[in-house]
Amino acid sequence: MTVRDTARTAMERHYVEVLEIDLDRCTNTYGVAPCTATGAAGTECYNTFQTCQAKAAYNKGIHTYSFITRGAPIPPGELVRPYLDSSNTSPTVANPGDGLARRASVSVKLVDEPDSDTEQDPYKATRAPAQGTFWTRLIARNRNYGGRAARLRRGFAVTPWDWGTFQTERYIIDSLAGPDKNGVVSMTLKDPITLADQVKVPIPTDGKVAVALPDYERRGYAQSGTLSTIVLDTKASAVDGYYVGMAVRIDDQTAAGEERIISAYVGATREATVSVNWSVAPDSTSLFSIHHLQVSVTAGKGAQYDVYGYPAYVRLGDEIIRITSRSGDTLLWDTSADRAQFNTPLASHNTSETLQACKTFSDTPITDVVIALANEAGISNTYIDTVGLADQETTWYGTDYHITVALSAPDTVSNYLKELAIESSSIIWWSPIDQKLKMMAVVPNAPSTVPLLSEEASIIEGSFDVQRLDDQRLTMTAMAYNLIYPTADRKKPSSFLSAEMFIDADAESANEYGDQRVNVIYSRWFGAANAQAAANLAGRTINARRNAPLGLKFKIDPKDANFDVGALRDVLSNKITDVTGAPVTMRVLITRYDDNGRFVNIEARSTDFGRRWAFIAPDGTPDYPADSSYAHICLDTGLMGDGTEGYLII
Amino acid sequence: MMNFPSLCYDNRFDDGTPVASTTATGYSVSNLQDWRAYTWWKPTALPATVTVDCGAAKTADYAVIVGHTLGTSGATLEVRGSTDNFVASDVLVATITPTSDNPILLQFASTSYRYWRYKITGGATMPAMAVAAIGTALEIPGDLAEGFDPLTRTVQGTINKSVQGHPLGRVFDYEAWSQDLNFGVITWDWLRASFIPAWKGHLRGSPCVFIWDPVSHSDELYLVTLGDNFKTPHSAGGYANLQFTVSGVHTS
Repeated sequence: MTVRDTARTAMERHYVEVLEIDLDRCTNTYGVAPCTATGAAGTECYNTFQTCQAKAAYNKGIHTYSFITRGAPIPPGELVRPYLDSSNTSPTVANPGDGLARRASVSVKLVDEPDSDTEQDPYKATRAPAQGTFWTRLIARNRNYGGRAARLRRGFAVTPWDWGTFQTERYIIDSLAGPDKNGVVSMTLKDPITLADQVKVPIPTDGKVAVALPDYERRGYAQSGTLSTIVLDTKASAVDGYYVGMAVRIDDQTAAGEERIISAYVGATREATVSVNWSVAPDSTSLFSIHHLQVSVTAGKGAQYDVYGYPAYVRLGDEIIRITSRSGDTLLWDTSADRAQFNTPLASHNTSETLQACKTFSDTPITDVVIALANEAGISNTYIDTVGLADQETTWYGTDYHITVALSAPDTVSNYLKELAIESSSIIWWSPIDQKLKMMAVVPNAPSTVPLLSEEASIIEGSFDVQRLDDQRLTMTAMAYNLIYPTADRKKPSSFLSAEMFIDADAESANEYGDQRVNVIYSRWFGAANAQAAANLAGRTINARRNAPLGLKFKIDPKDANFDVGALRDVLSNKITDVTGAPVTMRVLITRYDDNGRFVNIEARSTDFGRRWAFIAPDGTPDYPADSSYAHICLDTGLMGDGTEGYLII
Repeated sequence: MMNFPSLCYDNRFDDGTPVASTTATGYSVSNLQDWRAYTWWKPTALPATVTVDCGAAKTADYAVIVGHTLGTSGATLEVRGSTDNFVASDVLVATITPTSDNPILLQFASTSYRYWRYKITGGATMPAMAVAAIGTALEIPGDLAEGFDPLTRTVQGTINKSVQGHPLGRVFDYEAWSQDLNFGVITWDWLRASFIPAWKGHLRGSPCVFIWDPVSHSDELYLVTLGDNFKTPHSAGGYANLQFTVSGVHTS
């Protein structure tokens, strides 16, 4: 048992919170190389960027300020200010069906005092005594506090002091206000998924076409050709060198499918020399087309398109072009096939059009897409449950959920994550306790034993509430997918080439619910290769929601508080019974976990599925009923050998 | 030596600039003077000293430490005085080897030195100290009125019971200690000459250490703040009562 578990499960606990905030602090010493500041003693900076007098030499480090619950014991020998008046958490709420969980936030109230300034001012000894208060000075010297890391540590005071009793939740600073008329400073912390609300992918780019780009430069029948030349039609350009650097492609008849770069062109004869010999010499039957292999963007904008490396993809109107390299403000590609990528239409583009860089994924596991998007939002892999996602990938997603898509219009990462979660029957949330972004397929977990929360031993009196969430009930789910091309209008059903649908006719029948509850999802993520994933969504959604799920709310004592959102627990309450009225144990998914030290507010969702389920048995597994831990589908009667209900393959 | 309830706020370290033999980064020696039990001085080598030059000989009869790790460290604390900045004159005034990290009060016969010093010796780990004062106690020349309670504790917390009535646990936040003090038979002269200057000079704005029984319970120290006011109602015999509130938290 850990020291935290020992303290948490004791009958008496001394609950303490510690807030830590990481603010920027220069690692240099004023006036000492590499710092080039030269002010006199008493005029030094405060080692913050705000007060820096030699910003070119500024070297950002971190200083952690710590605040502990007022009245709590001070950890011996540690600078932890007893300023923390209160904290109020609005925790993550990860409801199945919502996709991306509601972001957690914490409102913290901190008191102020004059303070001796020894912590903030490295050069205190050279100055007159500081005026103001701790917070007024800190805010004045650190305007750039937004987005900096904050940790709320919840634990128990023991003797001797032991940080091992603390559990650390990670947030970022969202706002800092005050001191107010009562000297109270208000700080709001939010979970790092907030970053996903702020960051757009692809990164907006604003280069415009500098020289018009036609769909193709010329098309016609060749007059003749050799292995190294092609003589264009008589109306081709009479200007020497006009087509040099462009690609000539044979679209039909002799040499069809071949494409070469034009290395020389004589206007008088219309003869183009190709850089590499044809395999077959074109002749007068050859239908050719000539294509540009570059586009110039407005001056100084070219470097914007390096953002995702090369090959890169840019959108021009509805067309997506694959760019293989850049030269200054000119974007280049290799062949005519680099135009009209992702089934987009080949089109002409005039000088008023903007080139938008695209973020693309090709046959990428859905969990890797989530990780990549989170990375784009500034959430590094350190704060992503990569191990958990890999496990989910192996168990539930697999190749059915490999994504090929081009994101061609900037949208928030949070919108993307929400779509991915909904369309894969998953939830994505930030776990402050594990300090990780997590993703989990909303399917019943493998049969196992999970801890019981009962009205006798765990649930606090007067706290248990159960609701039937009828608004969550569905009788039909459909997914439209296989978008005709990524830039097509996703609001039009006709933009989608494929659909999967699952209808529970029994649920819609007069003897059951007698109504239709329809859920239609239009997916930009799933293509033709994701048909099974689309079918999974439709089927699993109805199986999970043909009956209204139960939503539970209750409080538990900290002694039982050793889990988190996404965990499964069994709940035994007199308010959940079978038809005889006997209490039944219900397995629930924890969707909200709010630990305020005195008790933990829990919200949970029932995990009923349309039919009982299990994994399909591997080779060598004994026959049913000798083995009952795996799914032995059924006899041809639809029932198991013992007459019980057959299994459903999902 | 104190005999009556006393307030320790006077500090020789305020008479000059304390100089430490060594100081760990982030543990400024000036933290010893700020009356905050959460800002610390910590040396980097032992023995370690903190010395102050008062400019002229100044008197002291106590040393108080609130917030320290001397007990955990196993260190010995000495209070020393000198007339020549510890060149030839180096007098041990008081010493203690604490067995715990509870607040320390050292009482000694009133004596004067220009230079005062804390010296720390021994110690398995580097100790830290939060509040340290060497000075002359403000001894209140009267007894505490009936009803004073040095041991009471007020717990802020929550008790959890299960739906079926079983106790699940109790969470408490902290133990507060607050008392309305009432001293009888105080002379007006003392109030005017000693208490009011102390109030103006320190007590109305900064914490101090309150010792309710320096003779029998000198280890029961409270780092307290005084309330917003004090009262001195007239009492029989030409005396006054002195009334004020102290509040703090239990430190041991």
